[in-house]
Amino acid sequence: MNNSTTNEPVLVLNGITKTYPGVRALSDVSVSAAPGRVHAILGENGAGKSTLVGIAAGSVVPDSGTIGLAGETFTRVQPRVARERGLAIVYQIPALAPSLTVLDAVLLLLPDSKRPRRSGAAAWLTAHFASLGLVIDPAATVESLSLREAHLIEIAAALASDPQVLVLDEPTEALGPEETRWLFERIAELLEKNVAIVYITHRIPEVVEIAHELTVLRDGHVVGSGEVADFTADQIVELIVGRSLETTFPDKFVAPAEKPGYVLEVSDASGAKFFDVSLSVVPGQIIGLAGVEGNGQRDFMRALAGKGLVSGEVSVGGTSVRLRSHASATRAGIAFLPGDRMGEAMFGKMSVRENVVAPSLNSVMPGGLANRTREYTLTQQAIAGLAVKTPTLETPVSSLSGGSQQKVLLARSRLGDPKVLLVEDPTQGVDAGARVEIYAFLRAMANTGVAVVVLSTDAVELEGLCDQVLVFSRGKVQAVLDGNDVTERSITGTAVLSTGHSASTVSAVGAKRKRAFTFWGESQAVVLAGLTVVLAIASTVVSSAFMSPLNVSQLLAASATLILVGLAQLLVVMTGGIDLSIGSVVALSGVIISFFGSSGGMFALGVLLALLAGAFVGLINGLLVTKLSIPPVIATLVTSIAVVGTAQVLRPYPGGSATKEIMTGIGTTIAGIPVVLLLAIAVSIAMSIIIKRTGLGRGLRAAGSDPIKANRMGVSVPSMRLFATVAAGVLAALAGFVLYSKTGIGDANTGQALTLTSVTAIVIAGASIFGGSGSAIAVAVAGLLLQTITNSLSFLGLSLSWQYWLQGAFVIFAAVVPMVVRFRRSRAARK
Amino acid sequence: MSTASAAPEAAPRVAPANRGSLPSVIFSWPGTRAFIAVVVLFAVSPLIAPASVGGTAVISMLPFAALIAIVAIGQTFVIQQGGLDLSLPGAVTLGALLVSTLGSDPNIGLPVAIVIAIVGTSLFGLLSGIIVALFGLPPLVVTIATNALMIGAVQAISGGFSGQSDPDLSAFAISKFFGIPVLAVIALVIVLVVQAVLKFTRLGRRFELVGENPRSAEIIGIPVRRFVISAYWLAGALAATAGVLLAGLLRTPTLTAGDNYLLPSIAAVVLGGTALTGGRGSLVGTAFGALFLAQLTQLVQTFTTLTAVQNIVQALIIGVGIVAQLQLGGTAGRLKGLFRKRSNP
Repeated sequence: MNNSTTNEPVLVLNGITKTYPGVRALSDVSVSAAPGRVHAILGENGAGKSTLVGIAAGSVVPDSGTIGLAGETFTRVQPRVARERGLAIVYQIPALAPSLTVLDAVLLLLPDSKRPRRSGAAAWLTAHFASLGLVIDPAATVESLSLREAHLIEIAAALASDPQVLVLDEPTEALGPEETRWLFERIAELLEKNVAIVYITHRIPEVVEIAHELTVLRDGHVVGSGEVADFTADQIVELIVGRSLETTFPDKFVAPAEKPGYVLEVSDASGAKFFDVSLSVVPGQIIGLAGVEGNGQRDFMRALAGKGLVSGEVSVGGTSVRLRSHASATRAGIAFLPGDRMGEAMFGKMSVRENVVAPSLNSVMPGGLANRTREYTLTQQAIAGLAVKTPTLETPVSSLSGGSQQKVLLARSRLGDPKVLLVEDPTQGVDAGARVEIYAFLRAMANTGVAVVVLSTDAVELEGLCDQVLVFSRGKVQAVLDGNDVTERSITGTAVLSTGHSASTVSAVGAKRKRAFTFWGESQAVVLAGLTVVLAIASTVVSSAFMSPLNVSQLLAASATLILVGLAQLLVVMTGGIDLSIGSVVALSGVIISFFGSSGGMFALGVLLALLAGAFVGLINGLLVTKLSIPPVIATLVTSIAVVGTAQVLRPYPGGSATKEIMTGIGTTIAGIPVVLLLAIAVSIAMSIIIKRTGLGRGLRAAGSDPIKANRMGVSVPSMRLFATVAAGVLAALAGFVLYSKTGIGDANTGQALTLTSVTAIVIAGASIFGGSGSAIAVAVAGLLLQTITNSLSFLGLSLSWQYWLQGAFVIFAAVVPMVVRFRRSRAARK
Repeated sequence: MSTASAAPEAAPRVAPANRGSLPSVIFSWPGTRAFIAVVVLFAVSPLIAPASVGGTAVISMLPFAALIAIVAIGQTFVIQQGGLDLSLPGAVTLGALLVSTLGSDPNIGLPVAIVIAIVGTSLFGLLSGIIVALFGLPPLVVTIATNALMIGAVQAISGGFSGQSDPDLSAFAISKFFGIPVLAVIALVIVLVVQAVLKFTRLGRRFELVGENPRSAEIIGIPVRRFVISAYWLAGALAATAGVLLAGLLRTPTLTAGDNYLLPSIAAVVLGGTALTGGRGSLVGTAFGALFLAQLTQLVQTFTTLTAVQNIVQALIIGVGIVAQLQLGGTAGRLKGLFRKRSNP
């Protein structure tokens, strides 16, 4: 390969330190990458590799240290800046916002100079994929892709950005051997072009194969670095683990002469993602589950933990067990410790005591009443010998180190006296010292007769800890390794080889992929338009006056207001917020305009002032949310009340009608269609184009879809949120103007109901209420439908209360239906 | 290259202390800041407006503090479960309307009317809870919708006109118990009972665990959905109770009577130190928050009789209070961390 050792490094991380609550993720780490060379960074899970990557890419801000990129030195970089300066990154878990299409995602990832024009972009991307040997539909949404496909797309985007530095974080984790080969060929090409490569991994053979230099991290410290050629594979392993394997792991199980009964027996278990898995554990045994991520091992463990089986038998201690829920599994004596400690296992803000006794409340509080003394006694018993580093038992568990947190969980499961202990990634994010204690604890649990089942992504750990390992591939047990066969080499070897048989090609993406965003958004508009027509016809049948020109014109003009407030709400919800001040802004805008009705010039000034006031309220909302981290609901509720108060002070009683000329002017129609409706339609179309086809729209959708991933993609989430709230304020003020054009008076008490209507409009328009997607066109049609409903009520002889009931029922119905459909689909997929 | 391999630290460790020192326990109690705020407000009030702290002033303020507190307790439950209930204004109004409409009907009678008002209204809360818990919809959207359903019911039942409350109810609502307004006594009893259940029973502990992390709670076998649903259900019932009492207090409750309780109910929870992200909450803190807000209203009212201005001033002060509490919450956490590090080498 290339020998350009004399070249200046393009990426220099110097003296980087980063602390998270309770953990020092990195301390004084320095790494550099030179052009034309591969620098491998090695370490166990939680050694600090990914944090280091995040700092280089700008998604994590270091406490101290500097980042040198392409000759310039920063104390912190923004993800966008890092990308513009030639750093491309492929994350371990692809950082692609789920609601975007593949094309949107790739366009967002590219630096400005490399981005093709939007009109030819789809063809360009298809060609780019083809040149790499990939067949992926650019219109598919990211959420419909598999992890593997998402990975390949991120790699393809990184290659398209023509980088100076390419950072690959565990790139082969989700790939099969052929794809790995494919990736290594691409890396060789990049090295030819003098690109610097940072390669994060814990797979030693890969390092030996492609890397020139290496740096080994352990517990956030650099414990070794140099030329790869100077190390043997065994030396690297020892650097990573920090001690010889013999002193790390406890002694293994020795089978007794007479065969005891099984503690846990699983036969022919099948679920959604695993098939015909059998397993039996005798007292004293520790069983390991292994495999490449996503091959069913995790699903199998979760099924045992209570998610349940589709078919098969489970018996604990000789008694058959029916698993329907976590509660039934717990009753059967199965304890489960998930790998995502903060997310699924701990009660972060609660104390060590409360965490330890949480699953055992029945025995801790036998009469149903709390007894602090008893809780302390039991907690102290449970953590005895585990060296949990905590000041007091009342300390919130989230402030402990990863190792101590895991020990609290182990103590908690010991207190529950389980028959079966299922542990997922037991040493994820745990420092080397605590690992030894955790291994010893698990072995001690096994020795007391508990069936211990461990799932781990770390083959070295499985080799050291387990008596038997089941290697999963495509949902089946590919191999059962026993005794001396339990080695790191055979575990990874079986896992990787077996995956190779199944995923033979890179081009696995079918063309029948659901085009979720574009198709769904507009089909919703069509459905709503159909409903509007049906309702209009029904009302006309009951009373022909519904179709009178006067009523139709009124209906259309009034729907313009609803369309505008709906669009305002859509922008905010799309970025993951909600705006409850919309109705108040409408009222304020109308009140302001009502003071300027004396002449045409003054009126224009009034409208301008109203729009500025709307923008101002939006700015306040946005700043409260982004700068002071106030939840959007509360921020906008407070401003809503202040704004409506201001409107009431300005105009305690309705009034302020404009001159007749002005009213006629803003009330004109073109071919029977009110000008204000044309305005609303124009705004809808403009917004639709912005959302779907511009970088701003991609940023807005990404920010709402997944803020963390959006940030990694280089989107400034706070500016997107701020933009959305300000634009929403302006649109709401515009709606106030439209409302004024209809009523001709300023009234501080109108408009409050429009907040509800704006939410109704976006929900029935099929926009995701969790953010990330939505169609402006569908919202416009929804506005028309809602006004048609309101208008037709009187013709159908229904009271005002129906307006509220229908809106409430619509929201619930429209929100529940997609959930039910998704639920059905996932159930159908299971069978 | 360096290969530092320390021996495993198997040194016997001293067991951690059960709890920290008394000052740190008091300081970390979420209600402390709300209590201090109330004390400061009452200390400052006579300096700004002497009339706002006289015996009659306090007596006339307490019933409103009580109503805010009752609604806010329900809001605390929902916020503890990581939600937010925007349907409480509808529930207050519907409760008030039902008791005044049915209570004045001699065929039904007041006691039955009260039961119908509270139980009937709470069904809407139950509906919110079921939709949130079973379908995983955002609480905001769901409660906006159920609020619309309740307002629709208010419109349908009232026909646009509010009714007159039963004289017995009015007499009860303005009566005093050993000189203390009976509403305040009711609120106090509710706060104490609920706080005791939450802090000293297994049921209460499970409720807090579910609020702190529903996924963790589910994995250890706690029936998460039941707790979430009951939070919304209780919130609806408590708001309806406040509505019933409000109907007594006002005699002719308006059809928008509940609207004034939404922001205060949330503000009282935040000021009381319950995190908006859910989890552990302090009902006593919420009650202090309600007291603070009622006294604040009283204070503002001595300066202006314009409701609009009162609203603006209140929104501003509540906004500042929320910001201060949220920001201070973070700072206090950091301070506490520093304190602990220093006291435990």
